[in-house]
Amino acid sequence: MVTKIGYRLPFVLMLVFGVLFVVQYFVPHPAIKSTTDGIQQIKQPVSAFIIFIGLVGLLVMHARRVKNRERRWGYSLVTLTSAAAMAVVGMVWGVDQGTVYADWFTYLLSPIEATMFSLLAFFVASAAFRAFRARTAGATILLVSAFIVMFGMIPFFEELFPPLSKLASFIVSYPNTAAKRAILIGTSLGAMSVAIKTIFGIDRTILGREQ
Amino acid sequence: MNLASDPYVWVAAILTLCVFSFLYKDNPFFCFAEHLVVGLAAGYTFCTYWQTIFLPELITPLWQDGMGSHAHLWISVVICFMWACKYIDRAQDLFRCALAFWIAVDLGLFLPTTMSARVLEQIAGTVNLRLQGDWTVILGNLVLFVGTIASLTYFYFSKAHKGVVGAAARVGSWTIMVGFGATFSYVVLSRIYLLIGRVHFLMRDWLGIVE
Repeated sequence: MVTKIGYRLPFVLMLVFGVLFVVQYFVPHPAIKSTTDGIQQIKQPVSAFIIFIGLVGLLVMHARRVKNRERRWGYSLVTLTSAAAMAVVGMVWGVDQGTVYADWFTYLLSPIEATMFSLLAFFVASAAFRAFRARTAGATILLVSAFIVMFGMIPFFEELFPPLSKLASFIVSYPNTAAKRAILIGTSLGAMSVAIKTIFGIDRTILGREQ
Repeated sequence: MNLASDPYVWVAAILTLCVFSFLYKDNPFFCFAEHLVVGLAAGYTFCTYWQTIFLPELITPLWQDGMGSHAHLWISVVICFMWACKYIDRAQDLFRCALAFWIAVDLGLFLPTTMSARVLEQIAGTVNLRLQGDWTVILGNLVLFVGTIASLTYFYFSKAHKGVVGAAARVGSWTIMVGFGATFSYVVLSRIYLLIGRVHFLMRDWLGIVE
């Protein structure tokens, strides 16, 4: 439930703090600097708390599945149990190197994550096989560039045909940088315009609608 | 063949095989590993944030000197409570205020740093042409300059892509395709390296087939 003041006050806060933090970048006055440093110090532990809220949401969802005996609730029990076990191990024995917590990270969490990402090698290869067709000039350029960089980076081809490796590093260093730079400039300008609209309350969708 | 004697290696190997079983089709072993990794990651995240941020930067300072030099950290506690109001329907106003404060500080920090690092520095890096040294460097810098301008033209929609603008946009789209090709190959190679790492783990650490 959102009241009228509760709807407007956040936009005032957003304007005040948003402008303050933009100004502190350009005005190195000690008063402004100490204020913004203090706010950042206050903000740091809150960032951890926000992560906790997200984790609570995840665990509540799985607990509800177990409680209602929904389909595949057994897997939710696995999630809840493993989360609780990892948290207890970390809280009781600490998170430093050589602890059970670090061992669980190395032998349980890391292998599963690495294997899941490595699975993408198969799916990317099959997707590329289906999608890469030299139908247009752009698609042909993409295909050729991908092959040159891929084979140029493999040590075997580097030994077999050295110019391929040089061409691959040229592509990565120059045309690739040009494309990335243009995309970076474009997306940054777009993100900045959204940020300005949000700070000045022109775009209000970020905090929901008035009720 | 020299099988591993460390139980942790066995667990890691079995979990790796559970994830690889997805290559056949979705199955209970993969689902188990999938939910296990979610739970472990949740517990890991909780402990890491608790031990590295929440405890040393909020709980401990407040416990030691909560009414003295660290009194300002009580504001963090209040903001944490306001965030927790997300789950209380009648206190949505408080949650929105905390959210607005958070967004404002982040956007205020984001605006000037993005303008500086992602726009002005990138433009400076593009226009400050270094036409000295090896011919490949000179050619590369020219490609970088022309490619960036052309790619930016491709994203410029306030003028119809005809004539000179159209030609520049076409060159820009080709440059972007070269960039996408290079990025795609990097993604494929990184996944293949991960796959090699997992297979190497199974064959060396678990089965002891290779040195």
